[in-house]
Amino acid sequence: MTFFLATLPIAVILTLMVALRWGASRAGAAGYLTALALAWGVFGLDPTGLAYAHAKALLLTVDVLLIVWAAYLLYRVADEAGAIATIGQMLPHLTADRGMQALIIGWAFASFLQGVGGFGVPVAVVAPLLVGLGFAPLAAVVIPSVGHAWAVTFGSLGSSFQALLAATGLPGDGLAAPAALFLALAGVLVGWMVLHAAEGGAAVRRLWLPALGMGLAMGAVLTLMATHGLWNIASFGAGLTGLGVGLILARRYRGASQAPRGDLDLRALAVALSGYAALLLITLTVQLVPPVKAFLGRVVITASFPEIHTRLGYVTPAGTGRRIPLFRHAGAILGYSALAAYVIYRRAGRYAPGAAWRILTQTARRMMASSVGIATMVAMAVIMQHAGMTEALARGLAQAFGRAYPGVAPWIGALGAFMTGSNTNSNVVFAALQMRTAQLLGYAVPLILAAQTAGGAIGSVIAPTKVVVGASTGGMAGREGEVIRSLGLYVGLLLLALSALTGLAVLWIR
Amino acid sequence: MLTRLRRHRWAVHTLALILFLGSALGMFFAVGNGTLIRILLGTAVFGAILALGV
Repeated sequence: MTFFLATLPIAVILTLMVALRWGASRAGAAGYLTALALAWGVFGLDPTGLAYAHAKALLLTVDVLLIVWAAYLLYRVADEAGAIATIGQMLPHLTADRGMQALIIGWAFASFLQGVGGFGVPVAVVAPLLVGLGFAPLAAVVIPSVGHAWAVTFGSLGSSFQALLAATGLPGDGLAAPAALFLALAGVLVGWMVLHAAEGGAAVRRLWLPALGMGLAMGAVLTLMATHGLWNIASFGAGLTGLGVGLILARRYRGASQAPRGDLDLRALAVALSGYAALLLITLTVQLVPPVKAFLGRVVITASFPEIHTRLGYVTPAGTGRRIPLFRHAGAILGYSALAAYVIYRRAGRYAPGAAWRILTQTARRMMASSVGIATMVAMAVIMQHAGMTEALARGLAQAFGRAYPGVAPWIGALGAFMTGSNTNSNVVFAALQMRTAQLLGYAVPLILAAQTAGGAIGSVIAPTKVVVGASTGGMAGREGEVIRSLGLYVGLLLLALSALTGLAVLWIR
Repeated sequence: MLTRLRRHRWAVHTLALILFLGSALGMFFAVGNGTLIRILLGTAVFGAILALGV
């Protein structure tokens, strides 16, 4: 019964967004109200517990909104300067093949951005680029969403993998190899899915080989780096490798039908790319130069929370909420990049009068509804977590599937990521539970945890909070349900593949 | 009423977000005061209902 009730908030959101096509702000509010009523009335979370849950949710919301607003601001800064249009005109000079364009930008570049950026950044940045290239808005959101999925665990400079280690207390050496291998193999499938999302089965048949080459190269680099202690930059290295291999392959797969006329204006292209070059330079400087990282990390917003009990006996341990290093946050880095890009474009004479006002007002207008959706869904997830509803869901799944548990493990990881919008949060919530269940059932713990984090990585891309980010920058605001439906097929297939992989690995290890 | 609100969707969303996040912040400082927590929970719910309406 508790399992059934715990599914209700998720069922409400899914039904409203997918079946009734509600926008995220309305569906999120409905999910939040459902979770609040169940947590208080059925699961016994008292008003004080609810107050702490709301405060923790506020920290998570700020963490997410900083990135969402700053990513869109950077996009508007570049778009107002005509940079997106210029980059859009550039790529056909490299390759007119839309499949190759999707592989290079929607897969390799999105994976690279996931390596250095974080929550939602790849989709927020890449979706408008693809729209500028002429991709339909739905495809423009789906391609980078699927494209960066495999890079999530070792992305954001390894924060999700770090959370896995923190939640289980296990060393990284034993966990990195199976997690990297699972994700690398999923990565090859992701490449073919990107092609399918871009141009259907014809593109897969035409470009399966270059996609395989890029996938194997990226997967090999990811695995090598992760297993040699470099897991914090493994996705970054893999994405960079994919870009290099993709650009080489683009010379062979140029797309014969529509060779562009005229010369490429390299100066205009350099100016257009400078906004994203600023993002890259600033990100690498902040993350990889220790004195800069330490200096910017001095101001941290966080709060301590006591142990919280529900009437049904579920206990949330005491601890600190989300830590937000205000000036080193991914949102802050995007903000610095937006400012730097604005200065560069302004000095290059790319702005018409009133550009700054237009950038700011359009950013505020576009982001407000998305922000409401994100705030309510994060609150829903945190309330469910503190009421023991998330735990009830996971235990119900584990008990229901018994010996088939290895096949279910990725789905639990995906469920956590779907609800919280984050692979990191999924690992925090479910890793200990997965480890304990694996021990009870006698399965190899590293394999089950690899399935947890790989499932979390894949599942995070379909999380409503993340979908809202991509939809808002890719011209699909209010049509998030369509994005979830389209992503559902790819995410489902990837999770099935992970289930099979985990089952085979468990049998092999035995 | 609903139609008029929907015409000002951006303003309503802004108000809903301020109410929702503001009450969440307030709840952190209101711990220990049951009445105030209930009022702030009500404010957050009102913010969510506003968002639900538009």
